[in-house]
Amino acid sequence: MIKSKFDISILDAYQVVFPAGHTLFREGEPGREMYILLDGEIEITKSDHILDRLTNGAIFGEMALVDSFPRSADARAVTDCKIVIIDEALFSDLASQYPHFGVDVMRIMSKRIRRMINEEMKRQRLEEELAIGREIQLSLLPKVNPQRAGWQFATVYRAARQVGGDYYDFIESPSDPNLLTMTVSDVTGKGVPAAIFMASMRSVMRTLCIDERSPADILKLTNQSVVRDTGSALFLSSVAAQLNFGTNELTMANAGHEWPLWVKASRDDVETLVVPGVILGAFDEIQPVEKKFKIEPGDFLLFFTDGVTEARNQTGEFFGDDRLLETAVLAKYKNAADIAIAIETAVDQFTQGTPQSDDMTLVVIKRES
Amino acid sequence: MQYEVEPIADRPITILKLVGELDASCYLEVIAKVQNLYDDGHHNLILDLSEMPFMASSGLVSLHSIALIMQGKTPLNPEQGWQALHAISNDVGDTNSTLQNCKLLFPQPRVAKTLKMTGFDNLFAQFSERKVAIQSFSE
Repeated sequence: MIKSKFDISILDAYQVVFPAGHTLFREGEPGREMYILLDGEIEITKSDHILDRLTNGAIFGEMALVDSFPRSADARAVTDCKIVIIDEALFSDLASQYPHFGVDVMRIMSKRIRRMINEEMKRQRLEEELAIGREIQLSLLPKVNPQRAGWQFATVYRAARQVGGDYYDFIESPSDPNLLTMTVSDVTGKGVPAAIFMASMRSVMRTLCIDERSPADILKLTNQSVVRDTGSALFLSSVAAQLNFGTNELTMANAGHEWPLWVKASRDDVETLVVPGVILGAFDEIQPVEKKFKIEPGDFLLFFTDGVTEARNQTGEFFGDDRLLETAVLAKYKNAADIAIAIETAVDQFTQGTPQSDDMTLVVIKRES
Repeated sequence: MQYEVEPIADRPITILKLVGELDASCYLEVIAKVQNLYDDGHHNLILDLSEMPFMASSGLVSLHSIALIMQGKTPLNPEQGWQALHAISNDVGDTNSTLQNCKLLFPQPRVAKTLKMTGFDNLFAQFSERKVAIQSFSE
């Protein structure tokens, strides 16, 4: 805000009126003027995020005038605005004729720089917290994959920049060496709350798995826990499956999670394991159903989270179900680890380094031929 | 997200078209938009999803909240606790009952899959024809 030591009325001759909605400048444009808002309201935005709302007496756009770098944000008139436009020549004249003017501009710039430093410090603290959150999240995932004669397991877990809520687990049955229960889950939110929620749900699901509950019961009881015991506004999609190494059967229940794929050695197509079920936390009571699948030699199962199919390339296109199916079929004669690598590589080749907003999890379970 | 509001002539029904992707950047805005419409007396709503190619998981929170708003319940604040969010299940009775005053029109394949996968297809009736969607509201 311009202080009283500079008489703003001397600038009346330079004022221009801009109608509401007019964009004065956009981020990235070269800047050759600064502005003094005499009357009206200006919105400063960056990537659709509102940084500031300026009112009468405010100075803006001064950084580009002084340092000649492109504009760092957009400026748009919210109301009809009376504005004085000051180019470099006028700025020099004003600063030499009216020293208070130069001091006022420096004061405003100083205030902005202090604010930017504070925001940067906050951002760095948040980054540190996110890094801790990511470490906690990674520490909760299994350190090694199950080892079973005649079966192969492979996993890929890739955290997005933000702490996300993907989670997978394998739990051996305490009483039956032939039974292995696994879960793959995805919390709907992101950030530290999602990671904490995921950690809490991991404990609940682990307990139910160790208690040798069926997949449907695991989901049903986890839902009760979400609804009754947590104070979080998050949903959890989850698939729970029990693999019986004696019968080679997979018993599966699903709660709003991506349907796993079953790639069969004997056929060229892929079966999508559609088992209906409601996402956890959305309803007080759910009744998950279970289905059994007999896994034949050479078949493999692919469990994944939406970070795989919703990975985007630079144009915003999704990797999608079809590419995943195609990649899975082409990789069906590989071992589990190479199947996982093939899918991860296909996603990477598709996204071409485009930053992803979601975690990506793959679990491949293959019965050896 | 962009919005197109179209009241249906001679019927107390409003079509709200959502144009763009429904994700974490706009899911609260969508809730607020529906709340404003409801407060302005639009109590029978068709959500036209024909130009909404993608709905992230945060969109489920929008739909969940919209369902509650259309029941005339207190506006949801997804940042405030869990209880309000799952209260909708009590209003619809069970997961096999769809809402009577809020329907979905033309959900795109990816969105339709998400609705089916998460069980939200049990909450909202879906239509592929505008005329049928309008007729589905009781006279």
